[in-house]
Amino acid sequence: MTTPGRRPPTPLRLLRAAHPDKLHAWHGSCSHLTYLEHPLNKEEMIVMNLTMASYHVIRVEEAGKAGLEKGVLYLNTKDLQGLVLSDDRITDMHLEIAYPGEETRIVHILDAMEPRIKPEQQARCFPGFLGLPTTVGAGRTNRLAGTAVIATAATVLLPSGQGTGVQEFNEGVIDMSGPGQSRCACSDTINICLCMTFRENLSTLDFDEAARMALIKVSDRIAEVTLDRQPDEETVYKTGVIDPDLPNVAYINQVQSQGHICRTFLYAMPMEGFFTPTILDPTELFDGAVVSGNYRNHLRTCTWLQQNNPYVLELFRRHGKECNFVGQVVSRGHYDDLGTKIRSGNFVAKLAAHLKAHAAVLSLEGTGNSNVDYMATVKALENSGIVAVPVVHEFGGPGGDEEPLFDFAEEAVSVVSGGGIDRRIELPPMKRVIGGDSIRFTNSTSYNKSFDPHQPYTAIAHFFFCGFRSLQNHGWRCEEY
Amino acid sequence: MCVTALYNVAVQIGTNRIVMSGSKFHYPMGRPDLPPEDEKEWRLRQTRATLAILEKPVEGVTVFTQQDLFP
Amino acid sequence: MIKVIHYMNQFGAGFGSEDKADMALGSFDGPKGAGIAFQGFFGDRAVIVKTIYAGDNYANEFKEDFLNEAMEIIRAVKPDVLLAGPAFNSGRYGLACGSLLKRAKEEFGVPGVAGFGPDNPGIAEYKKDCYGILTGAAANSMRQAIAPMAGLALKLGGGETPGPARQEGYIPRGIRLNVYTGKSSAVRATEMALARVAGQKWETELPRVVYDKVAPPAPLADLSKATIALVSEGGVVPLGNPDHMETNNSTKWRPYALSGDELTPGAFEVRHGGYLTQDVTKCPDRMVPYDALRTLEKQGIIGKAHPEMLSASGSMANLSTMQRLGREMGIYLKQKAVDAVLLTAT
Repeated sequence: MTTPGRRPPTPLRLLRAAHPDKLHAWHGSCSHLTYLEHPLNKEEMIVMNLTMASYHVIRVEEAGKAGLEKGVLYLNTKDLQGLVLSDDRITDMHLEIAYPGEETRIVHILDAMEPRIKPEQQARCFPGFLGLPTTVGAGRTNRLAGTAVIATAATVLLPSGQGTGVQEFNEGVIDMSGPGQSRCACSDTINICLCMTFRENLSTLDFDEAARMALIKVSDRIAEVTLDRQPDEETVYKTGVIDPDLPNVAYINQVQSQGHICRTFLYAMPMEGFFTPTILDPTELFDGAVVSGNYRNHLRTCTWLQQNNPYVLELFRRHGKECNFVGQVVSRGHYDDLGTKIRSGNFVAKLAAHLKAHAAVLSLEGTGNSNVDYMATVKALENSGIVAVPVVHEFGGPGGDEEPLFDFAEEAVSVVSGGGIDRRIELPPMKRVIGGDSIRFTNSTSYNKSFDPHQPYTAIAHFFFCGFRSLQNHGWRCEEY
Repeated sequence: MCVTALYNVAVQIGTNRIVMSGSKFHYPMGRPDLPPEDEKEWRLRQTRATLAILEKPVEGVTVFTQQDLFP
Repeated sequence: MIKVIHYMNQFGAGFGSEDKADMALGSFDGPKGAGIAFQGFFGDRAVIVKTIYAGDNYANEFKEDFLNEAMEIIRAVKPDVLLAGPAFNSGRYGLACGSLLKRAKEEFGVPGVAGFGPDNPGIAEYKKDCYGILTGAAANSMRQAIAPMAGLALKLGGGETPGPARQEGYIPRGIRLNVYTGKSSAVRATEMALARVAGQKWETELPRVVYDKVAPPAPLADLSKATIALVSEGGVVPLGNPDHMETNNSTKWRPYALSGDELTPGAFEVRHGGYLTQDVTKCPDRMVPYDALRTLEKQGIIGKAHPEMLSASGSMANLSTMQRLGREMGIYLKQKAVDAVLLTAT
């Protein structure tokens, strides 16, 4: 048990890569060394050493040639169309650009990504989807800061009621202005919308695969403009113990992965089936090691939010100053039975202990059933002597006077509130809608009625893109009155 | 009385007679992994043992495990 | 000028103690007793125009008369805000304060502030219906109760909506509303984690809820004579979903007639956003075990298999809504002479 006020115990000695730009280069080049000469014998820390080069974008325009000049990103529309339509499962694609502050609503969203590329090419972003699943998170990565590429489909796959309950598409919109703007993801980026039409009678497997690859290929192609160009900003990220006098904090990232169209990919591998919690370096998230294939838009964490994971960014901000960011454990929720949930929670705690964490900050993708896995994880952490601070979204009904959480472990003594997901909000009409001309929600406040998304309507967090997580990210919480 | 694979929620909200399902939460009274005839047998045995709990007095929140159903 | 009416019991109003607990309701113009201290705090921002009093026994045993008489005065005077007590730990006094403020809010929309000691039953009963200030246990803590009660009364009387309980100092009423802090959950979670490991002060943003207990019904005397009904929150509905059962955040339940010896596959579908429904769609008995129930009926193990299933869908449902559905189902089944229920939950 951590005793407050005491200096944290001496961390485990790890090794430093011989060449900071090439992860694991020493594997090949050090095997001839004796153990005394081996880097493992040095009292230094291994880090995934990543330099993030940011290219700030203030305007996006369609043009005949791709380019990046004084913050203006030029998209070669024809080239991007050719890239997307080379997959014959997609029959049409056009681009639309939306800016924060516009009276624009984006609907029928499949996923959002930030255009990123690794200039050195021995590893590629979105590993496993692009090229082999080479380990990422080290070396150099270029990003087009301030943008997101958003995939939309004219007709969505498996709308609510036609899927298997968990596996279905749930509408979740992005409002670029108004009261909805602080309740959804990607409302403060310049959004490059890939508006796609898919071939009729595609299986959902084909639809899902085609959509994801189109978005990945376009994100990669757009990011190519950064190659051989000077960035506006560079940030270096290194996980590990920088100062042994500071407390060690880990990040626990619980994702949702149930099966087809409700899943998350780790190095292009679906995370359900036989998946156990694992250590993933936070910088691997920056390079697209985790991709979202979860179409339940209200509770999901889209790929953009994993690439720009706010917990990782915040812990890096304080890294070496108020704490050591010692690493990340990735787990999934909604396991089939209680025993597996408990086992998963225990594994997370064990891995966090191996990271030498004194405390952990947790985030959840999912709800209801996944709360049970989440609480099992909090229990296991606290009972291992690791402080656990989970961020939760609250239920509570429209009036906020109903139960906030239905699984609440005794051990969850320090909880951060992500706001109530059932509270209602009036959304204004929007001048422009991108992605589709009719939307439908199957929540009880507006069951199954399709309507024109230009119209005003009463919304709850369930109606927004990454709605639950966005309430948290924007800084909403519940206060008791 | 409540049959569920996730008894901890039922415990927290104060359900009095809770029976732990012998299967997964997607099908608390089902075993799709078994051949159909065996599954029907399984379900009959489970239902019978579960209903027998109704004749037992309880004093508050009580969880009956599979071992309690089939000692 | 904010108009205030102040309520006290027989002791607070200066008439006497237990010996005067049967006093009927009466009133004075202006402040009395603790009211004078409240008036001192108000200065010229508010005026206590009337003081109402009643004996604690009268207020509780003749509750309707007590409340009607108090409302008469309030109707005539039209105050902007009410003050009640402080009752400290005096139970009947606290209940009288709470019931009066609740009725005034319901009938006239007038807000009210009461003072309750930590063990006063008025808190559990009425904290939702008024603004309660936590006082000391006994009247010797009167001085400390004045400013918090009067300050909040001024806000309410002036038409302001009070902020969250922990900022304004009133007893939290169990209503949790969204507030925009502008500080992301990532920042707040990291701060909380660092405060905990450093042994510094921290406060959870969501205190743990403890649920009410329900007394368990008596066991069945004889299962072989009992009528058993099947209830489920697994969302099994007839094909076509005729009653529009919602997949998530549902608010309804329905009884569906069952015939034959099983739930025929193909005659039902599943509406539930919280589990993988394909195996139940293929064989609905996996969620609603009617086939087993009918067999047990034929074998004489149970008296009767009630020929209906009661369906609800529990994905992302509110607990209070589900409690209401449960109560309604219970009433329905009792009318149908059902003795016990087997409820399957996901």
